[in-house]
Amino acid sequence: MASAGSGDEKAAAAAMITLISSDNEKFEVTEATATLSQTIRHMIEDGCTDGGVPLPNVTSKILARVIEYCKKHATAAAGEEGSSSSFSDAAFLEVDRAFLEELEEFDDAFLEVDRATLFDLILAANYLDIKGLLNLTCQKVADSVKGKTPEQIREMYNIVNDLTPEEEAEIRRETQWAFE
Amino acid sequence: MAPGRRRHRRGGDERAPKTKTSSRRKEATAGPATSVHDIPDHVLELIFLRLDSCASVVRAASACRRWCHLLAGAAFASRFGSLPLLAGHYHTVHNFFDRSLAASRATPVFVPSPGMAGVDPRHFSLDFLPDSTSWELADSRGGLLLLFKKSTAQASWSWTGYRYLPDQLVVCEPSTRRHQGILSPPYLKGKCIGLFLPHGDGDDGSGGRRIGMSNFRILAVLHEFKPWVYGHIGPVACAFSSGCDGGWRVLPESAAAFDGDATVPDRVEQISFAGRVGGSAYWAIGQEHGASMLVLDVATAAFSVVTFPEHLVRSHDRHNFRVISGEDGGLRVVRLLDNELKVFGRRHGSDEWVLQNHVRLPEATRGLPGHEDRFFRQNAAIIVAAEETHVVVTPQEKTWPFSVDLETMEVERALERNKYAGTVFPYELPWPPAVLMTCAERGRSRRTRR
Repeated sequence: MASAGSGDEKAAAAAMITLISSDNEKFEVTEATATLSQTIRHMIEDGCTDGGVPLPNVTSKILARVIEYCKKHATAAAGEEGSSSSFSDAAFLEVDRAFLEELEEFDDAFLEVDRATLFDLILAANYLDIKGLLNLTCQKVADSVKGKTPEQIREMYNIVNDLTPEEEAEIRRETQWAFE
Repeated sequence: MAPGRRRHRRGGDERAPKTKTSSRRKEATAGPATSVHDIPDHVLELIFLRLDSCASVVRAASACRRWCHLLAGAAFASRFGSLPLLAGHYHTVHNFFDRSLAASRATPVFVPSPGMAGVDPRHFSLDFLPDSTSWELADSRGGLLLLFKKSTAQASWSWTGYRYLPDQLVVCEPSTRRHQGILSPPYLKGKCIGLFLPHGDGDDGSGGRRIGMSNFRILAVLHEFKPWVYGHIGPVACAFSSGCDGGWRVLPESAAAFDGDATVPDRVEQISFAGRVGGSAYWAIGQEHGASMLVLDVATAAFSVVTFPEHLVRSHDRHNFRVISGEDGGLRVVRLLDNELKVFGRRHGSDEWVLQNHVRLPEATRGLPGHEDRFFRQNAAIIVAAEETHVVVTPQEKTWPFSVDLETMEVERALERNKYAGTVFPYELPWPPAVLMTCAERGRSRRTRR
């Protein structure tokens, strides 16, 4: 990620990659954006991106969102890189903080999606191996479980309770402290 | 995570709705909405690793069998890091520091750890014990506590260095509010210098040691015990085990190390309990016998005597000498002499003891709220409790506990732990709880690839 913004920034910015979604839509992105995905980074390194990168696991709707995320975060990575050389330390920290805040706001807004889309994003982040996006989306799901009872969790995520009533009672008895 | 490789679902929940997804992404344009059932196990684990508290983890595990299986599984456990879960600490108030009636009727207080946020500490109250105010804590191990009946006739053992083996003991599991009383037989009447809960019998192979109400043991260390039978005065271990062939028995082989060897003092007054580190219990012994420590391997009940530099053990007693664990499980020695707290440790890979940190308490505590000028003048400060991260100390003029952070040597008075002038016992909840393990096992029928 960081290398994209350094010396050969122009070259990297010029190199465009075509991503092809499962429903055959084509997306043109810079290499800096695309390489936030480790999966695509490896494909580029192996030189097998000519004629576009087919992503049969990702729909155009989800791919568009993923690219939106990668663009923002690739700019962030490049911005950090550039500012470190041209600003004094204090100014750098200031810029850094403003940037991080902006990024955080972006992430929060980005996560304002329905559950199905959130899971689609998780699957795409996992398939494309985009660490930041995977962490972000997993955290969102973990936060939603926080403070919920097993019943609420099941309802929220359409989970069928396949524990027997006896097993459930036993769990309750052994871990009473976890259920107010 | 190996990039660029498609991952396959494993151990999925076949019973969950709409999981026939042989070409799972293909139907994304028209098919049903993506749900948690489409998330592969290893990604679901990433989500679980981000749960905020132990309570959330337990609740999530009882949502369904697949979640239970993942959360209770060894793969999750190994990534979860802090296993078993440190639920909190039981704090005791010792009558040596507080002779009030209220203190004499106090039960150990449970103070939850940060990971137990949102859990009501009353779930771990000991009020379920019969005659609940009459017990004193001796040891903790996993989710179990060992307590003994307070005696009105004699000062408590942990401060005078010994008492007789109490007639009545109780082992309890606060999380399930179960307990079992144990009587010690009259023939074991002897001076008792230690009472411990070793790990349970039949530890399972999956890394988590299981100790529970069905397999606990108790180890009592007696001194000056029937020398005409055992041929020496030194300590002898006695073990109680639960179960059908259980009961008390003396372990004469535990004393074999002392045959014809007079390294352990005859009189219990010369032995002071110094603490428990890792799987061993330590007593400072010595004076005319030279500086050394008596060590008991609590799991095997084997004694040994280890020589220590004289200046480290000199004029030891329960109030001024403790051992605590150091980095990578090593031993550290805490001394509090002439109002100066010193921490000694061994240099990495060497036997040489060095002074790691020290602080003069009269100077360090000046300015703390509640500090009085008379403190530390007549008598030297004494140790209340010693742990890996901090030592709780009090002046003798008045019980005024404060803690010393062993990394920064800064003194601190406001923390919860400084409210209780007594020994502290860590309380761990084994993860996963046995019941989740069983449910997960039952659910794991065909596919268990990892």
